[in-house]
Amino acid sequence: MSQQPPDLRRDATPTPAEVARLVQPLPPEWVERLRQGSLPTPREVALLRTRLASAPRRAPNWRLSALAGAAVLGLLGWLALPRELPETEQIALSTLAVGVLGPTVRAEGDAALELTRQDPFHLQVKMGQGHATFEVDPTGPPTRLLTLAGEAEIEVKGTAYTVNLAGERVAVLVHRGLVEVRYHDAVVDLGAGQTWSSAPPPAPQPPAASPSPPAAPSPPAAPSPPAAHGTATGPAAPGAAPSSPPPDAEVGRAAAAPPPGDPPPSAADAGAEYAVILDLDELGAPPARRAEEAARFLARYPASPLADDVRALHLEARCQSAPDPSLLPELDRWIGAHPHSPWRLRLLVARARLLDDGRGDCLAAREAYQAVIDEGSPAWRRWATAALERCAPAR
Amino acid sequence: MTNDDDALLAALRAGEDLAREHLYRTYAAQVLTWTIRLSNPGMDAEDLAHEVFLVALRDIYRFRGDSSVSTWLFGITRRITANARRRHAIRRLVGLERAAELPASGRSPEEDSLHRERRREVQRALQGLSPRHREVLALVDLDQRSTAEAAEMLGVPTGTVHSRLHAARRALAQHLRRRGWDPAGPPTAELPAAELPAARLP
Repeated sequence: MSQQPPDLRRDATPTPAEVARLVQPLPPEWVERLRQGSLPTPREVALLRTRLASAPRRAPNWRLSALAGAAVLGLLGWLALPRELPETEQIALSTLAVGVLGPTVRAEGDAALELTRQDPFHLQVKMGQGHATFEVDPTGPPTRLLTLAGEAEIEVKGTAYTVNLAGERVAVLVHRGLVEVRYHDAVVDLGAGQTWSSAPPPAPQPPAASPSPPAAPSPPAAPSPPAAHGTATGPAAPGAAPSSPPPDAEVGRAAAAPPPGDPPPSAADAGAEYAVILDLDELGAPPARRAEEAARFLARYPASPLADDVRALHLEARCQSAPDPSLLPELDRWIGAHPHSPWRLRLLVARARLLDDGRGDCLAAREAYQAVIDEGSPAWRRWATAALERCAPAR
Repeated sequence: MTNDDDALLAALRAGEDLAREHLYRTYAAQVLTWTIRLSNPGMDAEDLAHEVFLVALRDIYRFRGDSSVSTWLFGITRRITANARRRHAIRRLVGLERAAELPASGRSPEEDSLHRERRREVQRALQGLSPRHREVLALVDLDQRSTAEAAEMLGVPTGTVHSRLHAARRALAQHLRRRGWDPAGPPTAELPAAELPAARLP
């Protein structure tokens, strides 16, 4: 007779009675105390019913709460973001350096600038007039600096450059790096040492009716041009080939002598060249560069009515680039021949600097300083007076 | 789910005021009892019960009717009391705990005080259990439901209810004995021996 195989699952599972015996009950007194102690009173139940029926609260909606919380967090985050600078900040101080997250803007003289922060890393400068130098630290934060000068837009690409706005004419000199100039529909890339100017000014009148007198000589404390000014011809920086120069733009103006057979240069050409020399002067280009441009002008237009002015600029640039006492006779001749020229004061200053040997006695320079005091503007009078006082103890 | 539950649900979904009244009348005492037993001293059980009904009415359209209304309400109560215990613990941690006072009952101050003390005593006793043990104890021992019914309400097998119940009773007995409960009579004291009144000392 065969025996049924054991049902392991059934036989190994305790019956409910076995389980109930195993689970020891709590003492009934405790259970009753716990039960009675945790029963709500009829009044509590009635109160709950009343609350539910009369003033039902809105059930908490966690999705809405989460959305509201996220909105509050977003608002707080937005408030915590760096605020924009004031919409515009007018700058009309003698000299001001504004360091804003890397870029440095140096406004000089009567320059009027409007700084606008588009976002934390986008600074826009609108020039009203004057002279300003911009510099972006290439190792600093990736800040975008855009300068609006007249109708031109100059954008930094990790560089330092100077912009001059006179009337409607804009001139740019690049000290270091690469600058992109957008003028009307044209785009010009400028490398270190290159200049660009918009439409040249009307041709200057003959010296007798000389155009607006040049600005007073640069103040003594004016910043010296960066050492990187070097190249005299303004070679194009690598990758800075002018893409499509505007018809009225002059890039780098390395004005070569006209090839033989070309028509002789006109007075308009001389005016344009003269404007470039003035631009270089106003932009604070290195003296050697200015001297070279002036020498080129004098070689091409020796009989131009502008040549006398350029000669003065040439002389001053040479005094600055290579001070040599042998220049004194030429200086004296020019100063003596032009008692009313607007360039006279600058040459007087150059002469005083040339004569001051720096040894302290100022014996040779005393008369030159005095001439500056007699003829100079207040700033230059102060400069010359201070120089004389510095010399006094040695007398 | 019974036919009564079906009709109640249909009426609630239709937005009938009478159906809501019926729900409150039928289940208010039960839900309030659960919230008292599953909450800790200092928590407002009536507020929690209120919230249970509000959530139930909000989610009435999501209730598929797989279980009884009672089981469904118990599930909501579990969730809400668990969240409330968590919030309460955080409030205690940061020192924002506010003692919940029982509503005025219309009884004498002495009776109120006794009632309040008795409830705190029960809640303190149950507080020593884990939430799972507390739930199963509340359903089987205090609500006097069968283990099968408790298993359905908790969504666990009956064997699990048995094991949890065993562990819960053992833990509670140890806990209560430590607190001075005597199965043969009233507890000797809720306070540590050092704080017992001097009159009880020989």
